[in-house]
Amino acid sequence: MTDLSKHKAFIAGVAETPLGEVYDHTEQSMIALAAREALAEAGLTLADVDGLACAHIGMMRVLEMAEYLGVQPRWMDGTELGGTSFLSHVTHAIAAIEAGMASVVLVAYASRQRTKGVWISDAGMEANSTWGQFSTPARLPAPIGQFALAAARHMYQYGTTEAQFAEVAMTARAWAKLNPKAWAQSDMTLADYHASPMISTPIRQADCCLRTDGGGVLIVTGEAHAKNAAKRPVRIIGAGEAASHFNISEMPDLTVTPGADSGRRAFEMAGITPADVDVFQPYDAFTITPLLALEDLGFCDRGAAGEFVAAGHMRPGGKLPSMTSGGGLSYCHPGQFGILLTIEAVRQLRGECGARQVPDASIAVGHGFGGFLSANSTLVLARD
Amino acid sequence: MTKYFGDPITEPFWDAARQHRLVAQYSPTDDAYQLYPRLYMAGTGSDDIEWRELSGKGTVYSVTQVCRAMLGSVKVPYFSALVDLDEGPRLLSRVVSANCTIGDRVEVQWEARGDDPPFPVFRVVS
Repeated sequence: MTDLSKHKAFIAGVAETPLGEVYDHTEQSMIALAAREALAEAGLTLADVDGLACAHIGMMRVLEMAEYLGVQPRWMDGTELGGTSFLSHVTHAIAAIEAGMASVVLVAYASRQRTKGVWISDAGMEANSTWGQFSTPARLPAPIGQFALAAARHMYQYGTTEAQFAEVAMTARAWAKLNPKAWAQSDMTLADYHASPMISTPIRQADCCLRTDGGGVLIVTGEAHAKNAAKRPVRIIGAGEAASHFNISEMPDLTVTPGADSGRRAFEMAGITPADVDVFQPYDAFTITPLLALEDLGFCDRGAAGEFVAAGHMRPGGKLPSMTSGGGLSYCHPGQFGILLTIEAVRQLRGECGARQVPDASIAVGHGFGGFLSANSTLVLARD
Repeated sequence: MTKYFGDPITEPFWDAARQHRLVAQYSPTDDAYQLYPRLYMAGTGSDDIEWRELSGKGTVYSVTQVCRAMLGSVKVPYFSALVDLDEGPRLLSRVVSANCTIGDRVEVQWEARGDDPPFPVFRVVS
């Protein structure tokens, strides 16, 4: 491991918004609640915030949120990459902090997709867009269909099995049962998995993330502010992002995601190898995504991710504890999960996770997926 | 003003589709096809684009059988698939045969869509 002190950006505060089903808040008030909590962890107030990043809330999301919170940002980021947006916001915030363009960046997300009954589909794509002309008539239900095509190809190419996908779902559930905030707490057996209805082969309902409300806030700061944090700040030692396509027909290889590039960039910046990682937070939108993440980041060989998870390595007590909150599959999935997996990575490094705490975790990797296997961003975080 | 089904750049594709001809842009400089059509070749910017007719034959790269109705009135089950055309480009489409698996050889068939140009779907060939 290289010298950590060259990395000058920290996550100094984190908080979830209310999760699950949220009837008594707006998205903005959910974020305001979490912002107060996360800023308190960082030993800061709203008056200190000079950078703001958010995705998918309202029409001009950064402006709406800045006004609601009463902050006047000098640096803003509304990058919209789907679920991985927030790991990319953190990636960009590192540069802003190092360039002196911001000193306290608040990254925020909230959704009430469950209580509002709205979710992503391609219904919003204009008929004469390239998507509307060439993808919509194929009637692939987005986003499940794109992930189903990737899962089917992985099975064909590498012999990955339904039981191995089931193991991803059961692993997430095992972690969720250790997290009092997790939405899904019931036992899940292989028989339960096989009884789950088929949605779009090979994806069953049990392969799909939850559809809940929720969100969170991250506070990214430089060294000077991090020193005064009320809780132990976590150092950001690696970050990278990558994108390859929008329409699934343009993805070169359905078994290799842009995460191979974002991961390599983040690991190189951090000067780490997969063997250095104590806890892993892959974005489990569907059971195929943690498997792709394992291969893209080099935790196992190409095609070996099914066997890797089946060996129990991602479970509590395994050699690569993963999805430790219960993940998007069993803890919470408010449309975009990247912010919550980052919060969990920070809490694991702080040793705050109670029954699901990974002992002595000092390096955590968060790995987000965005769009239709379109984009990835990877963060490497270190206990300071 | 000309009214297009899609947009000015893709119109030759849909004009050919009305005649049940599957075409794609080809650049001699890049020696590559691209589908969907664009102003120039993606990534290289080559603009020596020709329209070439494709064989309409290909291989299923991946396929999913959609079992739950998620798109309004569209009836399930059906197969959505990525088809690698023999000339190179990949197309997201449907396979209208009773069964379909990865690696199946397929050929194009034109799905009528009223006043809109027909859409290229595929059927499994032995």
